[in-house]
Amino acid sequence: MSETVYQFEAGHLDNDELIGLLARCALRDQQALERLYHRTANYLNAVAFRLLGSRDLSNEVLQEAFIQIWDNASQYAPSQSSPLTWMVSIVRYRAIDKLRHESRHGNRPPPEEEADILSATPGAESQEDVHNRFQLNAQIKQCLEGMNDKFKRSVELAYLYGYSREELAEALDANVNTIKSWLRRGSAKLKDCLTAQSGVLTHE
Amino acid sequence: MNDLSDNYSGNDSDNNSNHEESQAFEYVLGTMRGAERDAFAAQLRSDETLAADVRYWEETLTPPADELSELPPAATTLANIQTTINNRLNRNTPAEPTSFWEKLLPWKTATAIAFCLLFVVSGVLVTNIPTPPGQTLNADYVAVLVDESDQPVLTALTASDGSTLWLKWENWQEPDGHSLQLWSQSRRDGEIRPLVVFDGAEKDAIPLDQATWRLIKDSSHLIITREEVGGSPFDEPSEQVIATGVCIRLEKAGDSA
Repeated sequence: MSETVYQFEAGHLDNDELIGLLARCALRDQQALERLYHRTANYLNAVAFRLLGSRDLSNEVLQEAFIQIWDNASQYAPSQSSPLTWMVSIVRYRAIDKLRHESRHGNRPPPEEEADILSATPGAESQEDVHNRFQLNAQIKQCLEGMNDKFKRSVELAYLYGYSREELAEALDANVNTIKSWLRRGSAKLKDCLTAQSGVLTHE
Repeated sequence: MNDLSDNYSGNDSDNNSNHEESQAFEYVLGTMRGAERDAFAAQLRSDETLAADVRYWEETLTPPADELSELPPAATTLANIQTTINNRLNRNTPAEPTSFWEKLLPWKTATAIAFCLLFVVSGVLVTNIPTPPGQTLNADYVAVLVDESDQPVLTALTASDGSTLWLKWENWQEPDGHSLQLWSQSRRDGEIRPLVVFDGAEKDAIPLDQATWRLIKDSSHLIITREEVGGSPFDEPSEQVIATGVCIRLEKAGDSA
């Protein structure tokens, strides 16, 4: 029997293919799981690594996440979210759970060094690519540009690097209630901006 | 300690809505932790509005694939995943199915397979399948479709030349104001495709064209759903599943494994 060689195709993830693979996972097709893994593991591992700052922990989370994907594939609804969003969310929530049990931010490298780690790993992207890649959705980035710097920084540190309210308070020299307030008011403004943007896009 | 910024103005329902939206944002962002996060996750399971807020932020915050970084995982990670899954399968402790897909598919698999084995071993059902005079029933594929309470609804099998789908209904009732539709779930791509619509009198055999025969050969499951008169207008099954069953190929003597 010949061994199938899977190519990891950066930026060529096909939603329909991923949806089909998840459907086959729901049918307990392990070949589909393997294919899904080869298609997405590099992305998902990078998401976990950014949150955890550790290759060992990101591999642990990736492993747990794929088992959850296998278990819950039947619950995935293509009408509600894209397959990549669904999988990224599973990885992020697993990583956040892991952060609860690890004092990661006390001894993790700063974000700039983590970019170097990402780029220095064989098979990963070049350092320039890592630095050039903005890891938040472009629409979010555009809206954040017009908002309070501290809210913007809070979103980046929390979403990309897994900072809690308490860690944000320490990093941004504010108290926790202030952070909560920034996030609440900021999220409302962000949603308004995104809604306005999508209105503009719709009318263009 | 009270957070002054939590003292809202305006009416209560707006405030609650804003508060929940903000919580959804913090949940997705990951700033909500500990018992608060656990409680929110529990609430999500029963609050569809909140779940929709969470999905909004998940979809909004997740960058497209071409904006995600890449980091190859350890070489052993996939093998670890497969080992864990296989160990659990060997212990026969599958996760509980909950969704429509899973209701459609592995649903009642054990029962359906048991019925198929009964079919093969005892021939009990074979004797009840009507066959034309002089034609032996040399079945190739069989599916016993069972309902939610594991009762057989329909036995479907193909004869040796693939030109006919033989049917045995357990308790046929002529559809009134609706139709029944038989579907094939592909083992190749997981797609569900229509096979035949049942209206009117009971049918015990359906002539198969080549395309339908290929669909049956590729079937992992057959499914019957209740549809509007004439069958699903969208070529997609409704969620009113009447019965489903695993489609099994029967090996004949001389067949290779």
